[in-house]
Amino acid sequence: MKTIAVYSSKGGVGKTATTVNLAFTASRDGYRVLLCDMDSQGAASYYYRIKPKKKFNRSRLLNGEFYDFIRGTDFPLLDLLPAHFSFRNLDIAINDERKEEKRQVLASLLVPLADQYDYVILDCPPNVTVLSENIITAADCVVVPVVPTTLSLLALEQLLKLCKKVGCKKKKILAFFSMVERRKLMHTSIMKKYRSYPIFMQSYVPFMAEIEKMGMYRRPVGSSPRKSVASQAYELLWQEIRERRLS
Amino acid sequence: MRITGLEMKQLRKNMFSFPHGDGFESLLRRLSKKFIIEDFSHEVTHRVYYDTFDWRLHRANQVFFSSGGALHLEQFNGQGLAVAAGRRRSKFFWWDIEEGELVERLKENIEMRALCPIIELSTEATQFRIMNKDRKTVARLAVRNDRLGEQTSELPELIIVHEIRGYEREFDGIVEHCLKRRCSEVKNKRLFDRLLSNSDLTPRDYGAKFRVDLDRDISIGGAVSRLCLRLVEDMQKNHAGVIADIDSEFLHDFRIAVRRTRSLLSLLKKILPEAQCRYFQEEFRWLGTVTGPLRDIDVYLLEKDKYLNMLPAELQDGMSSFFEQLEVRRNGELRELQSHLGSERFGKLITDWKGFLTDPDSEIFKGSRAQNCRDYVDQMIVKRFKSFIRDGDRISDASADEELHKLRIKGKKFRYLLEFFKSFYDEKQMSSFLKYMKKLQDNLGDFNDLSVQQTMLGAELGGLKAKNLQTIRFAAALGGLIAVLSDRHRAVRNEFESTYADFTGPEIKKLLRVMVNGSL
Repeated sequence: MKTIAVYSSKGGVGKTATTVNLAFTASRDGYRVLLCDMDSQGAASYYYRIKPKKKFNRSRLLNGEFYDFIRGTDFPLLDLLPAHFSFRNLDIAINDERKEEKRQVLASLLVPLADQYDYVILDCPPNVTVLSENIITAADCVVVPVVPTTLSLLALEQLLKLCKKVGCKKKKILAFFSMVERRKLMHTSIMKKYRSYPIFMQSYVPFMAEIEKMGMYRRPVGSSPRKSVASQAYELLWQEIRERRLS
Repeated sequence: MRITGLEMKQLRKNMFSFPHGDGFESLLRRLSKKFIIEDFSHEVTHRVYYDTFDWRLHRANQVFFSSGGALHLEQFNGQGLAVAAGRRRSKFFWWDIEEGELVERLKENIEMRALCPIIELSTEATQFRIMNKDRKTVARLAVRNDRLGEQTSELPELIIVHEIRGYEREFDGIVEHCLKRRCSEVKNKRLFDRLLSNSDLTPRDYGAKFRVDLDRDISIGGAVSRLCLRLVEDMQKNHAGVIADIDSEFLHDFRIAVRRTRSLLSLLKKILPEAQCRYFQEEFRWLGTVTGPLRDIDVYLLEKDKYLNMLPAELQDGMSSFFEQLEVRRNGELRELQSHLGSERFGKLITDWKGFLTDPDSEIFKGSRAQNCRDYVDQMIVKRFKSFIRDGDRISDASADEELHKLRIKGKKFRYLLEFFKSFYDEKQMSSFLKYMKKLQDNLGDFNDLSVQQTMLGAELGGLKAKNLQTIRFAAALGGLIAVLSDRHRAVRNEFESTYADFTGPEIKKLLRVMVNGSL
């Protein structure tokens, strides 16, 4: 089992859209996938129309009693652990753990899933806390959506610093340009400058109404019978992630 | 607390059988009060299931079928084992399928037997999503209608409810609705079992293993009648397969039934009515003779690869024309046999034989044949064993091959005797005794096969005239084969002494004494 975290400390860069669509693409390729919605806003759960069961909360998650709360999506091989409102304080709860175990909480929770799934994909909240440290430690690969803007690049830089602090290899991190609008000069010039950096993937995801409308239709872009540009972009992204970090 | 191992709950799949009518429609109407229901797929599929005549795949808990241009091998529980491209045919051998995992798995179980169509199935299936008010699928429902072959009536409509992880309550609710609506739960979820039980087939109704359970107080005539009726039934079951030339084993099994019948007649000839016994012995000998030539050729063809592998690569070419000729000769022998098996003589033999075995006024049930069979068989086993040992003990390194052949025939007869009447004895003891016997018989059988093969190849070689290079190559290949066979022949002969010594040890005598409850 491999763990992929979709992470950026900056909000609004397309993390949830990426998680939702990567998870769908991987499952359609025949892999058993679990999407963990770690963001208390629950956007990924919303896209898949999944609500948490009443008895689910942060304590159950941290006590390792969350397996009965995993729910099947509408798509074969793809399950989802929904977010819960109490996840907003997940970092505080983790902070209460013993110092030496603090960064391993999430990783040890995922260990028992190894026989059940080929990939666990984490949708992460946009902040830099002990939860972020846990996510980076647990992941085999951290996928970072970067909108071609200065602030978004700053967030990537911040992540690299965090990585160094927690003692993780920088190689884990794979960035890609997200919500790209080619008509914007700033987007094209930033992409031109940074795309050749090894941390960046060649695949990128354009800004598209179809992706924005996911909130309306509440389903991944690849799930409609017609193959769309957006779904192809996520397919290419998934292939590149697999080739570069997961093979 | 951290959990170190995880067993996720197996998702449930419940099946219900609905009587035809509006049962399912009414269920949907009921469910639609609580859920949003949407059909998302409708398909019609066709499958042809295959197995060998002796149910070799069924015995291995496997199912083989062709559907949509592909051949599938599955376990009974529906778990796929292998798939290959291939269209439906009237019969398959494993060598008709493209090389790959399917072939490897099939040949392990079916060997030289043909896979013949046993069930044709047409299925019409519709799948439904059961959704909550957020339009999230909380369960799946499928309805399928199966139709077997040419049957006009369908099997009872089947409803399958699939659980979706995390929506246990919804699944339980739907199942409860099904149970309330006059439908019965199908406990056995194996589709193939359901098809078989709705067809006129009886799985494993034929197999090469011979066993007839005889009552302890049965008379000799009664036992002979039961045993021979079973054997004639085997002949009749295989008859059509021999005529249609489906695979080599129909004839093989047919011949075994004939040989067993002849053996029983010979074992009991002193007690059976003389005139009838002589007539039937004569006729079954004829049947053995006319079925022999085709079987001899089949044996060579089945062992073709083994023969070729005995030869170095440069001599293998010379044998190919030999096998081609054998194929041609086989066609002639097959036609000949078909006419014998369709003849009046064969028909009369079967009718007379069955009449003799079943007519209450038949001589077989009268006179000394009315005495207890078990006592008679006890004596016969002791007598036959002693006689076998007497002959076997006389064999030394200097004995002629002929002596070993005679011992083999005697041994075979003795083994048949034990197999006919094994239901009289303790099953464990008998099977242990037969195991000892088999080891010795295998040695003697190999010795005989190697002698026959050498003789046949020698005769082939003797009849050759060196006309061209092809004939010379063939002669070289034959020479090579005879040399290899001769080496093996010697090796098998050398093994006889120790194999025989194992068979005649004190253990086996003790075993036999306990079995027949007497002295040796």
